[in-house]
Amino acid sequence: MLKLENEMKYFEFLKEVVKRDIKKKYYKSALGVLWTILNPLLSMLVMTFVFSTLFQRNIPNYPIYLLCGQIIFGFINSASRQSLSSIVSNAGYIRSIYIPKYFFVLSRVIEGFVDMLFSLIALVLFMIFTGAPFTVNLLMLPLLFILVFIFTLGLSFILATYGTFLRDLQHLYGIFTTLWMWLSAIFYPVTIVPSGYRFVFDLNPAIHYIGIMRSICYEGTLPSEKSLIIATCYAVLMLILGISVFKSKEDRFFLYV
Amino acid sequence: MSDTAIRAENVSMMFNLSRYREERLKEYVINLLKKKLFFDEFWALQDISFEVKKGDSLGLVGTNGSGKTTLLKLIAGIMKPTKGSVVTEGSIAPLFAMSSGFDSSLSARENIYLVGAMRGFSKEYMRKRFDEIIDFAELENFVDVPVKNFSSGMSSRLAFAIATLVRTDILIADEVLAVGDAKFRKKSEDRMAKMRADGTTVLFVSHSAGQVQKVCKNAIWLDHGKMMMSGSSADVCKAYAEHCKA
Repeated sequence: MLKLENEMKYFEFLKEVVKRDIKKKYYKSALGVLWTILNPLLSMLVMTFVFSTLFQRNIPNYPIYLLCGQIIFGFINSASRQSLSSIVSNAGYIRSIYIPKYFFVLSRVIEGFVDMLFSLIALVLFMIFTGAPFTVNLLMLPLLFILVFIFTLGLSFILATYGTFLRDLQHLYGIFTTLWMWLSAIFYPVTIVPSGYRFVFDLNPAIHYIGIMRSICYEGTLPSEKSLIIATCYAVLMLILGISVFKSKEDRFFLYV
Repeated sequence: MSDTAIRAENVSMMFNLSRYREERLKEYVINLLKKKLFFDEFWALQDISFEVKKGDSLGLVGTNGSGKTTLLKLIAGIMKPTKGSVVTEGSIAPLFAMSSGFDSSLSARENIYLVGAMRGFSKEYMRKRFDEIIDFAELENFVDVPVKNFSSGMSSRLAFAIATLVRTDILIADEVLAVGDAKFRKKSEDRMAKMRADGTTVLFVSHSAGQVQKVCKNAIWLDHGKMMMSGSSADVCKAYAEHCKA
């Protein structure tokens, strides 16, 4: 009981850090928070132009199809990338005071999550604009967000751990996420992939989260039970793995920051 | 609830010097090729045991590199000992001259709340202490100036004020009086005396034997990570001073 109470008192810190970072991020730019909405919108416009005009891919209501993928993958990508350097860039604190170190990772993932929630505004605007289906299935969104949050947190713990010991990981991970993005069927339908390579896509966790997002917001249907079960399994396994890796190494972070 | 604030049992701390800074793949590979990876053990502390009662004050003396700061960081929970154990009871206010824990791009005001939050104090609580902290640190005109524009004296004054003006059970002070001017040093010594009178346990590191004797009842003398002597601060400081002369 005492232990939990101890941890609870640091939530004040978590709140302050998240607030500080969000403030820092938008403070200096003229449009401020508006950028989180504009960013996915503008890049979506670029992609829509490239893919539906130049490549003549006929996906109905392509903007929504694209935004669903971009928002989910964007969160996984930016939160995990930010977490990778979370221990190193908070070296000042780690050297001067005791704080449970997972807070630094958690704060980065929460920040990414807040950004994602803002960018949902872009999606909603576009859904109204293009007449996408608003169904009762939208109530499933919080469940999806919880799952994708847990998955990303687990991934972030692993990246933060090894990113502390090996700074090169930042560059390697940047390359990896580019590959990952292209393998996540964000811009194209999975159906164009030759069946021999499908298994790569089935193994990709991001695909399942994006798929659930699409059935909710794009098709307006209930996500399949199978996809929900897979998404839950990935999230739970990733978190367990992440916590165990992080916990086993966190006492040595001090030597590397 | 016991009456012990800090108990260190057979604490040893080892750093692997060759591993210390190998954060790039290149260096890792080079060291691997040179087979240097697992050598160069450096014991910063060896088999240190002591106990501090609640409300007591303990000074640490010793030359540079004797392990004083390492010991304080172990007690503050910033590092974990390689061997042995450190048990503390109560909230700790760590104060290291080398790393203040400030976010330099934020103002004094924001840092006060942030550092408070790191210690687990709510904004409400810090707001009540706010004026007192600014007043003590003599920063009335710099409340909204980013800390990166502060002089080292200013930021150490602020760090001292934050650490000592909020409720705390254990104060860890590492060379904190070295930067301030004579007037502030006097004020700080008074403040620490007041905290001790209120029952705060104080751990104090200074190169000035005079300060250690003034602030602390007991002292430990460390040399190359080993405990040379422990006892009343007057005796320890005397022995240490003689050792330095020799």
